[in-house]
Amino acid sequence: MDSIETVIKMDILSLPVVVLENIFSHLSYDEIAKNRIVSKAFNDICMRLLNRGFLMIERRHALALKTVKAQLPRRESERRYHPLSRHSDILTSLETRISMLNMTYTKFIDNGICCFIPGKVIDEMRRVLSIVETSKTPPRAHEVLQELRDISSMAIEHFDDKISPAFRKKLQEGVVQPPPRPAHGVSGVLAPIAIRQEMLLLRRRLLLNTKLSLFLTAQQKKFHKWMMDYKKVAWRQRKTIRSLLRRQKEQDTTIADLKKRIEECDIKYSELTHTNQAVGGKAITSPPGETSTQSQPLRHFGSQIKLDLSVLPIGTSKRTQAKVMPNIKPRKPVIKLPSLSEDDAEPPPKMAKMSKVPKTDDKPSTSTAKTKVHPTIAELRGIANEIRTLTNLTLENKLKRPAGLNALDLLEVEVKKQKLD
Amino acid sequence: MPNIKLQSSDNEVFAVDIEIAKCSVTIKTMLEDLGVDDEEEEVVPLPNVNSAILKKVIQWATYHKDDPPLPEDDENKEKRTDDISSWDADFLKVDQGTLFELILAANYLDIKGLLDVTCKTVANMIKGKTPDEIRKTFNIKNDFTAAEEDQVRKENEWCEEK
Repeated sequence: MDSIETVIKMDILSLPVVVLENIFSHLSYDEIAKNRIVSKAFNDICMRLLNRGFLMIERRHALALKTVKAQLPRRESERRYHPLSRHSDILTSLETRISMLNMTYTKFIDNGICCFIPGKVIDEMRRVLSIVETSKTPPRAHEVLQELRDISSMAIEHFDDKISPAFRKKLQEGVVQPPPRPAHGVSGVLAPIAIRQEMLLLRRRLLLNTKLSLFLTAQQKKFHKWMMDYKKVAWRQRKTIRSLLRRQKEQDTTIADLKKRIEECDIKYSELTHTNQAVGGKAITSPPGETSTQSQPLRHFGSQIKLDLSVLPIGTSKRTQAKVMPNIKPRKPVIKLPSLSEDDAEPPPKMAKMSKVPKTDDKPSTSTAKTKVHPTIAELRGIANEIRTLTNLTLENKLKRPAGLNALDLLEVEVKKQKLD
Repeated sequence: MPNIKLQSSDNEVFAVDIEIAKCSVTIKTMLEDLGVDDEEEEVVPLPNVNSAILKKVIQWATYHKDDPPLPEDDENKEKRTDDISSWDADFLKVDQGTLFELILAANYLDIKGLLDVTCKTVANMIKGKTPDEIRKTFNIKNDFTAAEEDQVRKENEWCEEK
């Protein structure tokens, strides 16, 4: 409702000139001429339309006369009997009328003093011209042109007697100025110079507008291109995200698989530890004449075995293993056992002391030398070394052929052999 | 059917069938020049048309969507004003303000059919009326000075019967 109320305030004169001209073009020129008196704005528009109407009639007549003359024979005697002779007669008479009207009004119209005042004359000329253009056998010239002759003569006489003297005076005094342009854009009758200036201005504006439109088109094209580029980038990124999500899913499944395998390895490791404990117990109790203090460290062997997990057969293939842990190179499996000498002096589960174990492993000759002094300790050390090497060997074998003999069984067999020896 | 969204000056958005919207040469040219796809539901701002008028324009365009294209104007021909269809006459039974707003919208959107019929309606309001009646009808103030009015009257006296 608000919009409707605001709309009510709008009146006919707030419409653009082009729209007002469109409205007035639906009226006859007689009505247009009579409506000049409504207001100044109406007067401006109507004057312009009247002038334009007369110009259009002049042009239309000239075209019609040219067309008819082109079809007529050159000889005048032949022309009389030609079907277009009446057309030609009417148009020739009309030409005279137009010339008379031109002589009466054009000078003042060009100076912007008045407009083509008799709108009714324009209407009548339009009627006559349409008869000439449409009818094949028009009435005789004097019948068709009677009304036009009457009214045009009336208009010319009236103008010459009552209107033009004042205009001539104005022209002689030189008080005529081009009418000022109204604020709302309804311009009055423009003198030729003013028209030329207006045309120049319009041409300049047209040029500017063309440049602006070209620039805007270029900008629009550029933005459109950018938009398409961004769309492509977004599409590429969406594709990447999709592939990354797929990879993440694959990795999740791999991790789950690895966890399962680690759990299996833990179980195997604990089984191995138990077996080692069992083996250690037997080895200590079997040799006769040994004291209980010497057998104690061996009972802790199982719990002190440090298994390097990086060497465990994690994953089903080398490829998956490389995928999961690319930085870890497969190493030789090593089971680290605490040295017996250190076990004697200190409590067994000390990681720092474990580093000394390889020294004893690297020099088996020193252990054999000690056997002479302490035969029982040397024996035990020998057994431990054997166990270590055997365990390493079995683990290696297991890695190479997992379906082979159980390492623990082999170990047991070896231990039994040792016992028998 | 693909739609286009038209936004009025008071920010109301109307979803209109693209073929109906193309009744407006302004919108049609814009869509062609900007290369807007039919699938993209772009919002076209119409800052010169308020929602009440835009609604009326869409109503008119929807009714006349299947009309054949209008012939080019012949300046030599006298324009008729008695050929307004009854639907259009009923449609244009609105207050003057709305009628002028419709003319403005039709002119801005370049809808020839609507512009013609609205201009004819206003021309019919002028036809057959004396200058005084015209002033009253359109609430126009006579801003002529007495001398100016006299001059115009004198110029038009030539055809008065004695």
